[in-house]
Amino acid sequence: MPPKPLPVSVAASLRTLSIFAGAVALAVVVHLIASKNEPPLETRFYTIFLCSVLVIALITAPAQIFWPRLRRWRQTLHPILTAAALLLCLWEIITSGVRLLPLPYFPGPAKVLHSLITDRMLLFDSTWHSLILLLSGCALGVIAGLITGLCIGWSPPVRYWGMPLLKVVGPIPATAWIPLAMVVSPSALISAVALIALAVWFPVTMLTASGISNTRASYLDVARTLGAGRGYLIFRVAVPAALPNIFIGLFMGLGASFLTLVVAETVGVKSGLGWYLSWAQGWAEYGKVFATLVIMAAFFSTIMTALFKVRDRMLVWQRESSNGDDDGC
Amino acid sequence: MLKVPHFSFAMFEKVFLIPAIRLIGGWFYRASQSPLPPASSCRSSDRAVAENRLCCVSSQVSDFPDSGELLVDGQSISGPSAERGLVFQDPNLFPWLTVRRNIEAGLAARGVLQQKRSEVKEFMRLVGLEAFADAYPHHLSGGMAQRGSSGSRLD
Repeated sequence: MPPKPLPVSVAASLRTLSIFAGAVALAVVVHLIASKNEPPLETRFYTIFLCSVLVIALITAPAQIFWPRLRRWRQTLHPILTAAALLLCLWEIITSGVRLLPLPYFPGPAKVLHSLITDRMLLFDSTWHSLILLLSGCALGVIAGLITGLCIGWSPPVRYWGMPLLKVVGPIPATAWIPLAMVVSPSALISAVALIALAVWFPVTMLTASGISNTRASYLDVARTLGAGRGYLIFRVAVPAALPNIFIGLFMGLGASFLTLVVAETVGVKSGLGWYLSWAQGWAEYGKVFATLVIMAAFFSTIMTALFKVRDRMLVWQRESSNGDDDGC
Repeated sequence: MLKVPHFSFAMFEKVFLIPAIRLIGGWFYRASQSPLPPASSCRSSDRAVAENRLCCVSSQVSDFPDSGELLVDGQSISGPSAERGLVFQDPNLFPWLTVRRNIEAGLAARGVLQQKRSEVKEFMRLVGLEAFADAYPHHLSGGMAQRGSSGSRLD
């Protein structure tokens, strides 16, 4: 009887499932009670959202018995999802329910979802503009950073002259250049691209240079005895050896680029999520502010996750233990 | 032809002068015509791989001998070059390349991989790593890695 252990795990997953469904059901009840204070038009989307989550939770209960992948997936995600549902509950109780927090600044989840859906066109447009700005700035910064990092890491004369400059100028936060950038550049968009590129450039250069210059001498010796020329030594030995470091630089640069993006959009650029954020704040529409934060969380973490995936693919040759334990996606 | 006229390679280590040539073998020579050096000057496992194709002589690449010199075909050896294969104490396979790619690396570095691709298979058979052609070095055991390293110095 091979399928004997199956019912046990099904029973276990049913138990965890019922916990999740219970949490969602609780959220629905809390919402129905709390939303009596709110205009019904604003809470409609949230009611629909919670109910559809509840329906999905109830439907996947029987479905996972026949679909092992779904079961595994749900088993790992359950605690997180349950916690998320309970957190939504708590948020709604504190804001819409007992009005513990001053109201215009801390809307409930229903209002945030309402803003998210009613203003979706503008939000989508802002996200698109932010994406274009971020990608062009990052691409420029990464290319420049890799080139300068390579030169500084490989060539001692370039290191002698370049490293002090890098060490003095690099640590200045890119956002501190904003006053200068506004004067120098013809448009806010170009200065924003340049600032993001600068923010990415410094960590990428630094880590690339240190990775290249710390290439194990024995790898280079091996390559030389194999008859490698300079191109092979640089691009087939030093660069792959420095790749783990380069990725650390990319992660640091990406984090800096998010910060610079939002600041640049808040002060100069007339589009994007940062602009939307300050615009919504200007009208005291804090539902929209929170909606922007939700979008930003999704937007930035998606980009981060994408970079993790690229890293995992390019660094398969690293030991498993030192790889893939820190992204959790 | 390899010649070793009064060669000594000493290391200052814990005050003792150790004739480093007795420590471990380093340099493999393409020397099918030249005789292997005495067994005492290289490790048995290295010798086994070396057989007739190669022989091993000295220690680290970038260090110069304290006295004397090594001559290959009358030419003094002053640094690493494609003329000689080098097998280190550590395997020193490139960890970012698979075993096959590591063994191909020498040919690729000199840009002759296309002509000599058929040799790669033979090198892998010679060091007994055909089954691990697509494995990365961190999946290999120490001995396998060292054999892969020897394989990548053949060519």
